[in-house]
Amino acid sequence: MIYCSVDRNTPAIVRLPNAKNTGIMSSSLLAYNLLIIGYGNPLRRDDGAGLVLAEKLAAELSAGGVAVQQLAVQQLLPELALTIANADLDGVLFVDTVADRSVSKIIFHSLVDAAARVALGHHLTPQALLLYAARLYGHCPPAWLVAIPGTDFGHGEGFSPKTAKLLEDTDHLTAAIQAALAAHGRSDHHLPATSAVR
Amino acid sequence: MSRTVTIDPVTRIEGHAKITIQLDDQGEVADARFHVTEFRGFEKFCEGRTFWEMPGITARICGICPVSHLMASSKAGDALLSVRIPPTAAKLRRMMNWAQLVQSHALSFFHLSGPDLLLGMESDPAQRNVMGLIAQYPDIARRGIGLRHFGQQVIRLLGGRSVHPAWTVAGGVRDALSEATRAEIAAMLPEAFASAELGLQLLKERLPSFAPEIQSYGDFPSYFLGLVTPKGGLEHYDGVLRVMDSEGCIVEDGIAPEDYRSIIGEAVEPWSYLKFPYYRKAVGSDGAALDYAKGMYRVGPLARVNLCSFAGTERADAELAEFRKLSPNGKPVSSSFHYHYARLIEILFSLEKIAELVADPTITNEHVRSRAEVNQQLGVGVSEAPRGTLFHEYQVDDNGILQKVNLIIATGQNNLAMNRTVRQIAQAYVSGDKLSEGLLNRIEHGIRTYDPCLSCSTHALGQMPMQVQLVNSGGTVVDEVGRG
Repeated sequence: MIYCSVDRNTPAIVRLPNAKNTGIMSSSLLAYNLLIIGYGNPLRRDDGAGLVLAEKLAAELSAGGVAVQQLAVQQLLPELALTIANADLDGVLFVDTVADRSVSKIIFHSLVDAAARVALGHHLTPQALLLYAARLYGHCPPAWLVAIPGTDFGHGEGFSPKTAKLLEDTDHLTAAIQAALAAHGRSDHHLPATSAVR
Repeated sequence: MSRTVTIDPVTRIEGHAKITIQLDDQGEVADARFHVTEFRGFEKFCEGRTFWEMPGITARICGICPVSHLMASSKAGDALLSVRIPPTAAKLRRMMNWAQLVQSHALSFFHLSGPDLLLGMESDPAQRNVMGLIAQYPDIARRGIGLRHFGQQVIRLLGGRSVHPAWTVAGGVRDALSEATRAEIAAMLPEAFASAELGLQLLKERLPSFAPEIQSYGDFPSYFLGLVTPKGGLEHYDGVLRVMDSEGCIVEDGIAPEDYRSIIGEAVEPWSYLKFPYYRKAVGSDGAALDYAKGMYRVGPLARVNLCSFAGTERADAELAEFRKLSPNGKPVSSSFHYHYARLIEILFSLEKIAELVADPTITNEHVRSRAEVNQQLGVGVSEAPRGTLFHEYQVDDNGILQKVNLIIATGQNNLAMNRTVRQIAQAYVSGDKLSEGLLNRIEHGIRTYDPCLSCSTHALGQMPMQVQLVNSGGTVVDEVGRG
């Protein structure tokens, strides 16, 4: 059941209400606040798959009892650290497309604020954002990456057959995310922010 | 015996920056080329769509400066409709454009160039990155994020979303500004001003220590091109085109934006997908294909602050007067290293102009859109994007269906200058037949002074990995390094 239709290009946070009367509701997840950040370009075919998958996961997790906030952006930028550092968050889910022909399934794994280097361009990694949130704002919730394989990054809308097929069945992924949330618990993720030296 | 070292950049798609440094027989740097290997197909992609869709489509070219494409596209649409948009709509568009400038310049200065500028070009490479910046200057990093947040918030408050707002349309804007939103923007300004002035103070304190970089990071004569107000003031949204030569003489002034082809030509090279725009009148009419590099011009913050006769706001004019002391005798400031400085002046100027607008009693007027059908078949929209002058030219049929689209992006116009900058850095720092990590960083910073936006039409391409090849006079790759 989809409770809220989200424009995939709208970066403003959309809160999806919890579902309290659905069959897949999990009472253990009712208190969880999850931020889902989908990113990509909807006019570069499979590059936009992360946005669509994020929207779908937001609806499914919301129906499962998670309080979901959803963001859709073209690329990750530093100010998202402010949103990630929100003390009320219990987790962040980054949803992206991965261009690796050897990958045949959707990838799901946890992230840590590992060392992150900024390249020449205007793009941040999820790890860099987590680092910003932890070091500058003192809060870094647990985070996970979901990456859907893509092969066609040409100009246009719509997805390659392989990516479109993967978008159809996400039940197992939703269950895995729910399990990861439940396993992590609602610990205090506050960290001391780096103090000023100047 | 020479050897070849190849480190292929691991890129998500084929797009990345590739740099070739050519050595002569004596092993000295003879030339350097900055190749752009991603094809931008948006112009063809747009043909057959209606011009009404163009703001939304072209804004998706870039995740960093979609507002710039919205502005140029909407202005091209205004021209197709032959309408004069309501004065309040023009003011609101300007406000969004300046907010865009603030957030984009803040990303360039505080985030991308901050590690080099604040930690030093020769500091430990392991620390000369965003982690090092956060560790040593967390307040500066937070200031940078705060300025970006300010710009994005203003865009969001005006347009309903911060990326790809569909608020600017041919004929004006969709929604008026409410009193509550006006007050919200005004409340954010003091902190933004403080951050901008801190950035300026930091850079000015450190400029003396960057003397070698100022001399070698793109310090050469060139033309400068950009918009100015009809009276010659600093302009980012409208106005007329002006061209200045390397001696500071204004060689073109008052050029109507729709006449841009009278002064700009475009060349192509087989080794780059990026076109090479040039100042047409600097090139002999019979040899344009051969000597177009004579028409090299720069656009963007450095060009704009060089070109304008004045800024038009109190604090920015004071900073502009100080900036101009960098170059004696009325000549333009010629080093591309000073793009950083110019960016900070423009942030300050933009904040002052936004402050002016939120205090303007007409800013909340509700008449913000003019409506008409297609009245012209050719429309040109020009505005100043953070990286420089942006041209959108649309040819439509009677139903508004696009027959031809031409976009000249700011980064393309700096293409010749970026190539020249890479060559200058290579000539200053390449020694022998080996490429070092230090050289890679210097080339990266030299390119970064222009804050290029080459391939961000997918977010992953925005990573722009870089590959540098050193080629001897026989055409053999003797060294190659990359990061990505």
